[in-house]
Amino acid sequence: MDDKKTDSSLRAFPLQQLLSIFSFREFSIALAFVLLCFFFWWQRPEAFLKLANLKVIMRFVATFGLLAIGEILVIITDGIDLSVGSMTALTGVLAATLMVKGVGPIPPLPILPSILLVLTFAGLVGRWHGFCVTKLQIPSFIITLGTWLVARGMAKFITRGYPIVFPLEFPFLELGQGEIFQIPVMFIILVAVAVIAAFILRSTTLGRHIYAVGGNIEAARVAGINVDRVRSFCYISSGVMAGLVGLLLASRLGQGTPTVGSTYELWAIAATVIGGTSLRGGEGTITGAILGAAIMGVMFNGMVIVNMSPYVQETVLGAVLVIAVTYDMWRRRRSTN
Amino acid sequence: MDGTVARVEMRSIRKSFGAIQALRGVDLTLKRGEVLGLVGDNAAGKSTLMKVLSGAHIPDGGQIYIDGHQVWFGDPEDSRSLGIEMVYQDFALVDNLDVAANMFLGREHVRFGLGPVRLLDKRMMEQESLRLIDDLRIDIECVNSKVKHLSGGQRQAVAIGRVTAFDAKIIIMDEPTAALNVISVGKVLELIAQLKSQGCSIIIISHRLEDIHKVSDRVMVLRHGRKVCDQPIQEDIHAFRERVVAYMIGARNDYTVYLDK
Repeated sequence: MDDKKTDSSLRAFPLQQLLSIFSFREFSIALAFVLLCFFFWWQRPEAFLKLANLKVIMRFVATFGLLAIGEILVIITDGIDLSVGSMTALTGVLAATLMVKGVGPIPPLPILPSILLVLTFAGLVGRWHGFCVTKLQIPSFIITLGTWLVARGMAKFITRGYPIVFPLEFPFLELGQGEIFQIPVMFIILVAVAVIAAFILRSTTLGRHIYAVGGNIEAARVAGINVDRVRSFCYISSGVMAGLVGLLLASRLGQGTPTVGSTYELWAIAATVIGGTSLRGGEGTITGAILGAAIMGVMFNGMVIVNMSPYVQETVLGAVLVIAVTYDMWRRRRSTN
Repeated sequence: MDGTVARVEMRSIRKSFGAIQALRGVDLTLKRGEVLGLVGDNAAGKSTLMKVLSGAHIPDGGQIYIDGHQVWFGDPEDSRSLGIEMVYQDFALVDNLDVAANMFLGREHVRFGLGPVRLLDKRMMEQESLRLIDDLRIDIECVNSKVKHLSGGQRQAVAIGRVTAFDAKIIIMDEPTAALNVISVGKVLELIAQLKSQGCSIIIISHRLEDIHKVSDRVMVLRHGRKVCDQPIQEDIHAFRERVVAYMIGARNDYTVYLDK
């Protein structure tokens, strides 16, 4: 069809403008999400839409959505961050140590300074990844794989393998367990972070430079973009997101556990991929990543609700991932031809 | 300003890479609104000379004058600030961004900035891109289409249009027609003529002598880091090709004679 013609007719008819919603990138993912919800609602109407169940889903989506937001920034710049799962364990353990036990002779710190310290630490780990990728030219896969092991090992070393338990009624637990108007605090945090991240990607020079670096790093460099700084920003963001999720999980579980969050990095990557992100860089949206996390959340939850055997659940999720990516590739190839 | 002052004057530029002397004292002049074809065999020093002019290489010796004022370029930003722009051979476009985003890549219009947060002025950039495309009569319908959906000629047009968005006075093009089909080559050559009529001074590096012959006022041949020919283009394409090739391969070497007149 003639591009210009559709463009001008779009402006003329509001109806067509309305219809253009159906061609937006994330529409097929959103549709899949809605269909999934309908399916589980149809299967177990009394259980699926129950408030308590919706809260479970929201907390799940918050966990993987936040990780996916950090991950997607790195993936758009043609990198990968495998450390986020282990980092949630390490930062959770650190938070518990700082708030409950104290470090050596230093007594336990108040909550807010502890949170800031943990997030700063997580950001510095991301800065380290950025430094290694940009200045030392180490592939992101390798350096974050290193952190994947080191962070998990440190979490186990700090705790000697035992969880550090927060006292009951500890105010920090509100973060992961609390609700505001029946909405989990975790989910509100996700929405806030997602809005900020989407704003950065869509409307700022930094966001545009992130896409440019992922699309053609040489062109970006020639155009005068500080490529190293852009990439570092993405790794730092991913680190901070992992730290944030570590805090939320520790708060939700009421303890800093060295075993928490294993394989979460893969779920975060899966969420971005289901959300239409290309692992070759240059593409991907926050909306897509959140929708990907939401689809996974509803799947996880729904399969339990309909009493699917736990032995089958992972198989089904894997199949969904493959179908989603295959469909997306097919759709994209069709649109370029 | 005095019309006789050259827009660019490079005097006895020398540049070595280790033991290899890439440029052994090359002079170059470029007048306002003039198109210069720069030719030479591989490793003759064309690209090195242009990288010196665009600030990517710092010369070992020689002087550069822009509009009669001596300048010194430490990096590409210095030369860019004086209106010297380079169009790279591989177009240097980002496929996944649209035309408007590519036009303003790295120099985006900002609606307001607060520290590191700088809000894009997308509408302004789209309008500016549209205006540029109209001015240069580039055949692109929509500035919101991604560059990867464009043809080779359209991509080259975007790459060239890009540099004009920033009031380029001197445009260096590295093989602007090498990767294009016949129709696109014609369009790009028209675009070059268009820029010339707007007063841009243009240097074209190319192996395609017929393209140089079509759009250039003057041709300059480099061989082994020395200038061996610098003449206006007057004869027909066959004589031109014969002469230029003779200088390129060293069959003719009478430049000093020509200098003395």
